[in-house]
Amino acid sequence: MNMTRTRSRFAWLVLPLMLVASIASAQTMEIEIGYRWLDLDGSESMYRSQINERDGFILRAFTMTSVSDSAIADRYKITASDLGSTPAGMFRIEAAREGSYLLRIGYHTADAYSAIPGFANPLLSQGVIPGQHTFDRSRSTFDADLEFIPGRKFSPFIGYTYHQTNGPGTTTYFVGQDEFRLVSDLDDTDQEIRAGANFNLGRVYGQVTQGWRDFSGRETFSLDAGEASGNNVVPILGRNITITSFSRDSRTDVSSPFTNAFVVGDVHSRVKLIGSFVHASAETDGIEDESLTGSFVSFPLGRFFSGLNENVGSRADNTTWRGEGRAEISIRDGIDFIAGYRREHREVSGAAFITSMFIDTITFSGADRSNIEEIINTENVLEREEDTLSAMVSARAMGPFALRAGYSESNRDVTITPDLEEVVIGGGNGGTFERKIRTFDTTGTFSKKGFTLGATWRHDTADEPIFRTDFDDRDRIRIRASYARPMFSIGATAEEIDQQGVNLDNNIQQYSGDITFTPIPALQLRASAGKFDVDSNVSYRRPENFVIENSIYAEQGTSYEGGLTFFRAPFTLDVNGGRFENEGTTPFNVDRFRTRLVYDFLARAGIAAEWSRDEYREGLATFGDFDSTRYGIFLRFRP
Amino acid sequence: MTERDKSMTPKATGRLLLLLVVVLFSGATVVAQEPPATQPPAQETPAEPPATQEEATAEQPAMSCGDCHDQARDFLHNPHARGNVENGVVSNGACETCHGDGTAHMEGGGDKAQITVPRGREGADGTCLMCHDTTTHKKSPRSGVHANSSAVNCLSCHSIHKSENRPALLAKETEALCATCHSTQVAAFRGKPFAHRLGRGGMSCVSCHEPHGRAGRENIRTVASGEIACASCHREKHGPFVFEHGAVSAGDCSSCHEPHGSTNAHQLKRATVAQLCLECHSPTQMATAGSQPPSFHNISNPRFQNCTTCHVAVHGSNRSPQLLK
Repeated sequence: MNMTRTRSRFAWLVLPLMLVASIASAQTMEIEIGYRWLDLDGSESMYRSQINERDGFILRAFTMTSVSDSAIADRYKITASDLGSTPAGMFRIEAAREGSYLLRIGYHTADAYSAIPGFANPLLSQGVIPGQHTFDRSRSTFDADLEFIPGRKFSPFIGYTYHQTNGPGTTTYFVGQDEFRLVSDLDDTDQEIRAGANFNLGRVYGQVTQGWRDFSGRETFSLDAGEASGNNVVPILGRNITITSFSRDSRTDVSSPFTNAFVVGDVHSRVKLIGSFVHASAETDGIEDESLTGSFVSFPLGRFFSGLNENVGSRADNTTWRGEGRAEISIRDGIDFIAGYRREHREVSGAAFITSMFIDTITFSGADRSNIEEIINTENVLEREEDTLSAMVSARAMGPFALRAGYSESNRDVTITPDLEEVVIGGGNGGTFERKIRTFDTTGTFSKKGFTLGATWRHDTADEPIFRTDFDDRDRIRIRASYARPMFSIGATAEEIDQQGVNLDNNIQQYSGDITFTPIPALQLRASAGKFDVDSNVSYRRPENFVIENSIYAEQGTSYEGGLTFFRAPFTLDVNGGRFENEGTTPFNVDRFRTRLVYDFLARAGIAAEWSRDEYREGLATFGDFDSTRYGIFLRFRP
Repeated sequence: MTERDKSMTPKATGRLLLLLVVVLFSGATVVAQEPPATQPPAQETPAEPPATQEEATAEQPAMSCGDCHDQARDFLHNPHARGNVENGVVSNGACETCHGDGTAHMEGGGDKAQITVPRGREGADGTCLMCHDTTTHKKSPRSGVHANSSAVNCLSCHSIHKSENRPALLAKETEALCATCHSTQVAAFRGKPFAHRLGRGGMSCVSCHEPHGRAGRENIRTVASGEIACASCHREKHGPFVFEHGAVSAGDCSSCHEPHGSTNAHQLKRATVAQLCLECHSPTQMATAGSQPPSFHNISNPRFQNCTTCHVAVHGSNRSPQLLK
């Protein structure tokens, strides 16, 4: 476990907060901090891929607010949660002086970990785990937005975002008719600067933003230890395929200016006109250097070779814009007619210039030893356009009833011009595709004396598919009924999505029921149960023999949850438990339990104890099974 | 990273003891300095008003809302108190913005008939939307999925007096609030093994969904450059790439991924990768994009059962049309 990174992150974030807290004259402040222990049996990789809560210190919650007449800020609020040995955490600062400025600063961090026994693992049957694609990375995002003179006719703002993703991983590389496991180290940064203004001229208001995004990424690769033989141990043309050295350095830079604007006009007391426009233009520059040595086969060259040096220079452009206008007309109070039109356009084009030097090649008969240089200039273009026309009636104020009904028509036009290198079999991947989708969408609700009934039906019908999995007809139905009184509430939900296509039959059904009972104000009991069924059937052609088979995917899941909250000063008890059973293509069971007891032994101090348990069991194999128990003690202060 | 399938027992007995000492020492220190706990539960109902107007006048003239209503005194940090705070005390103006002039109510000894209490759709229309008519290109209180109605209105989700310091004065934590109606989606998050971590690190339903948004696609948040919310964290997937996967270019992330929880480690719509890929990449009589078979691989061989073992750059590549690197 990457405890060093965790502790460092914890210190960097918590210490400034504590410093601020100590020097500021906060009017309310709450802090909960403590330590959590992990007891794990079974697959650590699967546990970390799913949950990844670890041993260590945790800032569970921090809140500080102040309202004052200070010249710097007349109010501020600082919140933080789950910083430290957690898979994700955040802090947020909001400070303002009425009529002068509004400042928002946010920081989010999340671990990205994946090491699954069965994912991308051709060697699972040999007991080699986890799979060849793993990563142990972290994502951090820092955001700052400052608005000047908010609420005035013209309020300019500036903003900045810094995002970083980094950490090691493993992957697989196909070369010379074999696959080799590589280790990689990724370091991506993405920065965005934006500036603009909110404006409010009475009947007309809106926002304009101009931004610039810059992405810079670098990933280096090398051969993983003990992986010289590759996945394929069978000789090819009498020769063992092995790799003795490998290195790759891949760098990518993306520059993307964008413009984003919307305007709302109250042209009449009953008519609003809304317009919006967004335009982004991105350019990618990529450089990649790769070299490897070993013993390989190339069928395109018809030769063996013992090394490869490759250089790639690439460039890609993407222009995207979207414009929309709509009118909201109030026919009478609570009844509105809305109509709109939207056009979207996306154009991606790219080219790569690849120079490959195959070292020490010989023909399959052993003759003509030489180095061979291959130069490829490859290009790719995709263009997509979509027009959508929509109209809707929304009647919200018909006593206990409300109704919304709408119709939209969307025309999609996609042109794909693939590179010739991609074409293996006639028919190709490219072409021009047109698809029209008509959608009817209606929602009705009834609510009176605690009883609420809501139903939604959406029907989509399309003419031609773009992808094989596109539907011809799709129906989505959702019904929910609930009844709430001061002491209890009960509800039930049913949903169904049904899709039909030329080679497609897909049905999803979900049902759930929930009940909450509050016999006394200090005690709340709750329980819920759910069931969902997924049944998907898509025909496909097996690539090795062209036989058509059905890709059948099914899930039958059942969930049960229950819990209680008990509050009697100075104690608060929260208990929750649940079980999720899944049968079908991927059977598994998940059991989760959470308990938290808070004892506020003083008005300004307390202690909290937490106990959590997660059990995961797979039905087809036991590689990923785990039992985890976590328990922690936290101190709570309200200085 | 190697698999270490073994039991991990708590390795910090010393740290536990140290922490307990700190806890006990802290508790003892605070006990020595502070009076016993006297924290009453938050009160929504008003304190008992004086029985008669005469009694009120004689004993304690009701000059401010906070004399009877605890929530008025606790309103200092509520955003609705802005502009109505004098010397650290919330003035009646903060209450009267929504409840109207309270003079008759006070003079009536707390007569409930003499004060406005916004409730339901009418209350939201007549009070909340007077200031919070947030019509934008994404939002609409008239036509949005949660458009103000008798079934769902502002007060269904926002609690003006009892939000307990939650953002946007929410009545409950976001996940619990959304689960009130969207129980099947929340069950998928809680139950399925691979899902975004709701409730951790500030991520919640509203990280991706716009609760005030219009129906359909406008219900999904977008980043400033116009891309859907996925791009706010998964920035390396932005591209553009020389060779973008058509499912990304002509569709979107949800062409392959299930954001609400999946049985697949990478939140794919199918448990196995080959199944997902071959449903599109399979030749039939229809002319559809990407329908050629990727190769002649024998998918009964474990080497070829996971397409992404070799086609690693599945979102896009600047080098390989076959997305091999």
